[in-house]
Amino acid sequence: MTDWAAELRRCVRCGACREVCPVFDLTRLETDVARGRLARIEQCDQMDRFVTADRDALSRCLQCGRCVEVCQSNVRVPDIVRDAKARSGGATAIESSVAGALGDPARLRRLTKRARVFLAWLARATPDDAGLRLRFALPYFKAGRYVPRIPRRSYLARVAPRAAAGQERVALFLGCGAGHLFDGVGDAIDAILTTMQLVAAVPEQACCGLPAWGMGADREARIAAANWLEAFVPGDYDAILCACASCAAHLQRNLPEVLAGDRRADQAARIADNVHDFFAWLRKRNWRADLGGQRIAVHLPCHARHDVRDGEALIPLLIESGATVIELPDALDQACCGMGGAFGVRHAELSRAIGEKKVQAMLRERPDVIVTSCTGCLLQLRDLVERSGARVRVCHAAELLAG
Amino acid sequence: MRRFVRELRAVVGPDGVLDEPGALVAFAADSKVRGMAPVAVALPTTTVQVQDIVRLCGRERTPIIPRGAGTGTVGGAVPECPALVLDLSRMNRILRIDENELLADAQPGVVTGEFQAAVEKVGLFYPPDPASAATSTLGGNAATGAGGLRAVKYGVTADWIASLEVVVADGQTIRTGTRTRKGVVGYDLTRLFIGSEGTLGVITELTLRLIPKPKAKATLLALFDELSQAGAATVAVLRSNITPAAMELMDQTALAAVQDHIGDLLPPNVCVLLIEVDGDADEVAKQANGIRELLQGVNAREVRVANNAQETQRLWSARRAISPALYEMRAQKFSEDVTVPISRIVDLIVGATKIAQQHKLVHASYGHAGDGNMHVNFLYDADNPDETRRADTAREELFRLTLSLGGTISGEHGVGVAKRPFIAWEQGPALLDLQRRLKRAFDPLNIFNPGKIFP
Ligand SMILES: Cc1cc2nc3c(=O)[nH]c(=O)nc-3n(C[C@H](O)[C@H](O)[C@H](O)COP(=O)(O)OP(=O)(O)OC[C@H]3O[C@@H](n4cnc5c(N)ncnc54)[C@H](O)[C@@H]3O)c2cc1C
Ligand code: SF4
Ligand code: SF4
Repeated sequence: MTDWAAELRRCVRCGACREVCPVFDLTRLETDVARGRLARIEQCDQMDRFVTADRDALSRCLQCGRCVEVCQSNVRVPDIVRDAKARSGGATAIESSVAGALGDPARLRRLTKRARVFLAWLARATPDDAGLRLRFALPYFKAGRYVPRIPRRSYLARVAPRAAAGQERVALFLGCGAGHLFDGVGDAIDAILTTMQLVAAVPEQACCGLPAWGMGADREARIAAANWLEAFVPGDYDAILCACASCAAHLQRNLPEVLAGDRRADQAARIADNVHDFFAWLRKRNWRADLGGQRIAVHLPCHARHDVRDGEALIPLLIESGATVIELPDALDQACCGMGGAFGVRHAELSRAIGEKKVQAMLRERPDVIVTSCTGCLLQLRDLVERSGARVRVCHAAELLAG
Repeated sequence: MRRFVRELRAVVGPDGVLDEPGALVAFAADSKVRGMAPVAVALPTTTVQVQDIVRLCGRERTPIIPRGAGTGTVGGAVPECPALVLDLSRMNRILRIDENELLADAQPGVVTGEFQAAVEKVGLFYPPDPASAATSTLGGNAATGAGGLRAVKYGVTADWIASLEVVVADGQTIRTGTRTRKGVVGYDLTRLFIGSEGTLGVITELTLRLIPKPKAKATLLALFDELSQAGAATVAVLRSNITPAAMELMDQTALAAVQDHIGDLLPPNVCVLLIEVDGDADEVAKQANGIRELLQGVNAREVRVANNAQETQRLWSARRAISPALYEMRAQKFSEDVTVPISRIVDLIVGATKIAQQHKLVHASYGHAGDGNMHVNFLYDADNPDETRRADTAREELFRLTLSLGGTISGEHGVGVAKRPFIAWEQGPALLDLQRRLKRAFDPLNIFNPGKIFP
C-alpha cells in the first residue's frame, strides 16, 4: 500500500508546477496547480473528510502528469489525485453518465437531434459498463461538443470473436472508442497486420476500466480489470496489441494496483509485459508505411508520454515512414489536449480552452493531417478542429499508416 | 464576513474570490514557512480593483497579505492572523516594451521567466535571474529584493527597477521614481518599496530597465578538491579585471543531490565553480581564456569550457535544481542566504563547515559565491527532535558567524517570519525603531502584511 501521507509530504512547495500545469495556465488559481491540490488533499486526509467542494476541486485536475516532469521531488500528482478521488467517495460522474441522461426525458429534449440520436445509439449499441459512456454524459452535449458519426456496425459487433492466424498469435484490444465508435481504427490495424501475414485474435472484450479508475471508481475499475483478464489471459497470446495508448498505459502500469489484494493481481503483473502499444510494437518490428512527405501534426497522448513502454515510438515511426512531423515549441508539444477523463465533460469550456492552444498551433503549421493514438484525444481534437472551421483530416494514427 | 466576501466579489467578479475552506489551505504556506489559511483570497486584474480592495480592507481592518507565486522562503506571503490574501497572479500582463527607451512596463504578477523571454524576443535583456525565475513573479522579486545568478556583473532586481506604481493605505496610487536614467527629486521611495515584503503597500505596476541582449556567452567549469579552494578562486576572479556574469559555487553534497541532472559530466567528489561570461563573441573568448588561466594558477584541478548548448543547459539546470533536490536527502533543511563581504567568503565557508561538523549535521553549501552570498544548508529530519535542535543551534551560530565577518543574515530572501527573531542581531534599536515609525507612517491602520519583518 502506498503511504499517501508520506507521498504528499514529499512536495517541497517550490512552485515549479505553476510553470507547466495547463489548468493553472488558464485560471491562475493556486488551487488549480499541483501544489494547491496537494495542500487540499493533505487537509482532507487530516480531517478524514472530503466534501462536495473537495470532489469538485479534484475533478479540476487532468491527471496529465505534466507537473511531474518538472517536479524535482518527483511527486506523483496524478496518482495522488486519483487515489484521493477514490477515498473521497467521488465517482459522481458515473451517475450523470448516459444512463442518467436517458432516464430524464425533459433534459434530453433540450439536446440537438444529432445528440439525441447519438445517445440512443450509445445506449443500444454499447455495454452498460463501457468507459465510453462516461465521456458522453449530458454536460458533454450541453456544451455543444463534437458528436461523432454513428458507425453502421461497430468493429467489435462485426468482428468479435475472431481467432488468431499466422506465424504469431497476436490479439487485438481495441478499447471502447475504437471498439464501438471509431470503427475505422480496427480495420486499419487489420490491414497493417495483413501486410505481415497476421490476423489478430479479437476475443469478446469490454472496457479496460481506465475511465473508472481515473475518476476513483475503484469497484467498477476492478470489475473491468477482472473481465479484461478473463478475455485475454486464456488465449495465451504472444502479444496483446492496444489500439489506444491510454488503455495500453492502464494495462501495463495500473492493473496490478487496480487488483491489489485480489488473487488476480499477479496475473495482471505477468501479462503487463505482453501488452503493447500498437505503434511501439510496429516500430520494434521495423514495420514502415510509405507516407511520402506528408506533413503531419502529432498529438502524443499524456499516457503515451509518461506511462506506456516506448510510448513515444509513434513519432519516429511516422518519420521513418517518410512523413514530415511538424515540430511545435516544447511547451506545446508536451501539452495535454485538455480532454482528460471526466474533465472534458465536467469542465467543457476549460477543457476546450486548454486544447485550443495546441490545436491552433498545429493548424498554423498547415498540416495535411492531425493524428493521435488515443480515442479520447481524438474526440477532443475533432471537436476543436471542427469548431475552428479548418478542413483538416483528424484521425487515429493507425488509419493514416494503413493508407 | 459574508458581507465582506460579497463586497469583494462586487469588486473583482464572482470567480476572482475564493472563500471555500479547502481552497484557502493552498494559501497557508510559501515554499518554506507554514502559517494559517486566510479568510479569503482575492485575485484582482487591475490597479483600480486593488485600490477598491485596499479601501474595503481598511474599512474592515482586515489585514492584506500580498502574494505573488508563493516561492518566497521566509513566510512573507503567509498569513499569521485572519487576513485576506491578495493574489496577484492574474495581474500578469506585460503592458509595453519600449525599445527606444530600453524600458518595459509590466504588472506585478508577470512571471519573471516569461518577462525575460518576451524582452529577449525583441533583442533586449532583463538580467535579474533568481533561480526561481521560471515561477516567481516580478512583483514578488521587487517586494523581496530578489537577487539571482547574474548578480555578479548585473546586480540584483533593485538595480533594474526604474519606477513602481504602488497602492498605499487609503487606496491611493503613487508612482515612485522616474522614467529617466537619473532623478533625485524627493526621497528614493522606489528603493524603500523594494524589499519591503508587502508591508508598505501593494506594487501594482513596475517599470523595468533593459539592456541590449549580449550577443554571446560561454560557461566555464572549474573543479576543485576543497570548498575553501573554490572560495579562494572566487575571490581571485572578482579581484581580476574580468567580471563574469555569474559565478556559482556548488559543494560535494549539493552536486550529489542533483546527480541525475549532471550524470557523467563531472567526476565524483569535487566542488565546482560554474562561471558564465557574456558579451560580444571575441570578448567572450578573451574573458573565458583569462579566467581559465587565472583559475589554473589557483589550485583548480581542472578548468574547462562547456562543450555545447546542451551541456551548458544541463549544468545550469542542475544548479537551479539544488534547492528543492536537497530535500530528497533529509526531510527538512535550513537554507540560509547569508552574505559576507567578498574577501570573507572563505572564512564563511570554512566556518559553516566547522559548525556543521560540531553539530554532526549533513550540510551543503552552494550559491552566488560571486556576490558573497552563499546558501548554507543544514539538513535535518523534523521527526528527530535531537537533530532538529542541533540544526536550530547551528543556524544561530551561522548567523553570529556571518555578522562577525561583517555580513548580513539575508542577502536576498528577506526577513518575513523566519528571520524576524534575528533582525535585532544585525540592526540596532534606533534603526529598528525608525523603521517601525516609517511603517506606521505608511500604514497607520497596520493592514499591510502586519507583523512581518519586525518583531
Ligand atoms: C527553488 C527556489 C529558488 C529560489 N532562488 C532564489 C534566488 O536565486 N534569489 C532570490 O532572491 N530568491 C530566490 N528564491 C526565493 C523566492 O523565489 C524569491 O523571494 C521571489 O522573489 C519571491 O517571488 P514570489 O512571486 O514567489 O513572491 P511571494 O513568495 O508570493 O511573496 C514574497 C513576498 O513579496 C510580497 N509580495 C509579493 N508580490 C507583491 C506585490 N505585488 N506587492 C507587494 N508585495 C508583494 C509578499 O507579501 C511576500 O512578503 C528561490 C525560491 C525557490 C523556491
Ligand atoms: S513541483 Fe513538485 S515539489 Fe514543487 S510544488 Fe509542485 S508538486 Fe510540490
Ligand atoms: S496532473 Fe496536470 S492538471 Fe493535474 S496538477 Fe499536474 S499538470 Fe496540473
